[in-house]
Amino acid sequence: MTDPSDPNTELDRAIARLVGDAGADTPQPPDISAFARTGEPTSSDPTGRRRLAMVGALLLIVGAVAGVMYVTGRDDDGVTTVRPIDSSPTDAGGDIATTPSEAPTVSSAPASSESPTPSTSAEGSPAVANITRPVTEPLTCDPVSARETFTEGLTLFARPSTNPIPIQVVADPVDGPVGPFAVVQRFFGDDRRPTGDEAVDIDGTTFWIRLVDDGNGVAEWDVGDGSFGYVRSRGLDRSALVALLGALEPRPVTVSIPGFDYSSGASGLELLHEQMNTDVAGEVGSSECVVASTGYAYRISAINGDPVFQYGGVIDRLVPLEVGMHGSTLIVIDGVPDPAAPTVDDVVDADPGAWLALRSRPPWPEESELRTENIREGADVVVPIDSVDGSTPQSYLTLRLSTREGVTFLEVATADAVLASDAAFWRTTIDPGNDGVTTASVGPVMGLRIGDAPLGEPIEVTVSVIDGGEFVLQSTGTITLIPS
Amino acid sequence: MHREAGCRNGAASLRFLLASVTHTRGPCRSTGVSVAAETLEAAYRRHSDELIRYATVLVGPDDASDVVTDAMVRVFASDLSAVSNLRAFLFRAVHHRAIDHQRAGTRRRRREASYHAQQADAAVDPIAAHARAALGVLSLQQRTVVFLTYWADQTPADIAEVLDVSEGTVRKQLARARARLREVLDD
Repeated sequence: MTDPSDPNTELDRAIARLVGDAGADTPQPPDISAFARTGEPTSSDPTGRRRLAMVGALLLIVGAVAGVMYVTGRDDDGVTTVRPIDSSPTDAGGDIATTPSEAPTVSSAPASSESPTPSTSAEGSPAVANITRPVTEPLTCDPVSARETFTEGLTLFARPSTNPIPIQVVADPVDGPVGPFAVVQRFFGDDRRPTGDEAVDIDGTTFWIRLVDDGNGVAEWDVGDGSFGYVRSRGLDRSALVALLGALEPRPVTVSIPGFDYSSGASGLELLHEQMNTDVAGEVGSSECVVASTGYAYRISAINGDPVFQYGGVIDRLVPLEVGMHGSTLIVIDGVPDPAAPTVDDVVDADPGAWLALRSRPPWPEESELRTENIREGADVVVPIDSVDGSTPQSYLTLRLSTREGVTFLEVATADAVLASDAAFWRTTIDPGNDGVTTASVGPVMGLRIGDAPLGEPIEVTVSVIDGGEFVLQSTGTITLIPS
Repeated sequence: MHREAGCRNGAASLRFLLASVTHTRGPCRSTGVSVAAETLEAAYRRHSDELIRYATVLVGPDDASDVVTDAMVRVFASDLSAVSNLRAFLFRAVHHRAIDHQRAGTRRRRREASYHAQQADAAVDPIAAHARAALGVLSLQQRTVVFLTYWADQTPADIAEVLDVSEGTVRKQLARARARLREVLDD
């Protein structure tokens, strides 16, 4: 495959040697008698075993991400799936797709869409190199594992559309993703209805908003011209969010990025970045570490890539413990608040060899260990959902129990999930001992009927994202929920 | 409804077929002319060395046989009526089983235990282990692209069919993998 005229031929030869060496101890292939002419799933097929074991049990549903168009289908084996999202690159459109380097067309926007350099940790250090292998010194927080993901062609927030979606970032030009900000989208040609906890009228337009205690917010509204507005906010209280919404003016649909103009006000926020939402790219390096004195574990992530990818990566999750910048790298630390917790300033770029060694270790904690969570009605249990091949960043689902008319439901809130590019359906599996009934609801929450209230026995739940061929792309693994 | 669509076009039908092993009433089942079992057996015999090597690069020698066996159990139980490229289909099956394998904690623990045991085992090929560790900086999809490019001499179009992605994605992944490996090899 090497081309002698290619200046990279030496690299190609080295890689070819590497690949050859990697298979140097290849065993003999299995004898064909081990599997030929087996006409049905066999006991050596773990998936078959799992499925057979689940006969009579429940494979359920599906639901979707807020305000999404659903496509439902029912398989022969009783599995019902509801199409939650369509973040497939097939909706890329592309006619008006732009690169992140295109400057916003609004007069209030800066001419450049370069990432702002927040003051948090990069202050006074404009030449700080990017970090791609984030770790801390062992004495601060001892690294135990690491991983990397590369993402491209991503559509943020898993809200489907048959048309290109403009995505814009309104933030403080100094603080960037470290400070309060909002990500704004506008959808065209989709049959959407705004939802939220509170309706706010601004100059005759009704905005539906929802604010979460942790500082995340959402706003949705019918723009009035057949398009639909959607905002995700971080660190904005109600008045700030309402002020931001009131400063958004829809652009003509004929411009290259038909989002919104933003009138900068006293908040100090400005329209900093924008692009079409169908080609977001970036990479995330993350490590897990443990503080010896407390035993607390922390995840340190370094997010590089399109500015929109960085903002999307930090907003589409629970509010982190700390966010900061090293050069143009966004550093995010998740974990327990504690005086001994690592800080952004503690983060350094690992030696490649040490990083490689960390990556060779299994994810920590062991992701396939059976997770056990205590759950009580009305209380949220947040669980991670991981990509099976590392191609999609880890994100989160929220589980909670609710009771209606004497029946216990498990609600799975999916709004914070970052979905694989070829994700097609949600699948939730309840343990075989449960004779629940499949239900589906339109909205950001899947409602799964568990049984008569109160729920007395533990249940095992697995939530997965699958592609059109039912291949599992992302999964929570099996979680045992113990009612308390 | 997605299944019916999958029956009508090549790539999607491959994906459907792979996933449909445990389903006995899939809508594709009655369509087309089945690939003869002898043809499948011949294809396996022809490509088995490549497949086991591919699995070894992805998951290591200890689990490679399990991955290939599991993949072939599915393949041989499948309706192959819509399969036009058996080689790609076989690679795809191994690829998917390797991904499943990555998630299997028990296998991972066994692999780890085996790895530590290997450290003391003079029979283990340290060069191979080192090379796999170096390739470990890549995602599984990138490793697949690298293996199929550099070992199996497959074109981006061929690899795109295995992975069911666009040629552009294959090229991008290859470029990223090369950049990453350059970094590793330079160190």
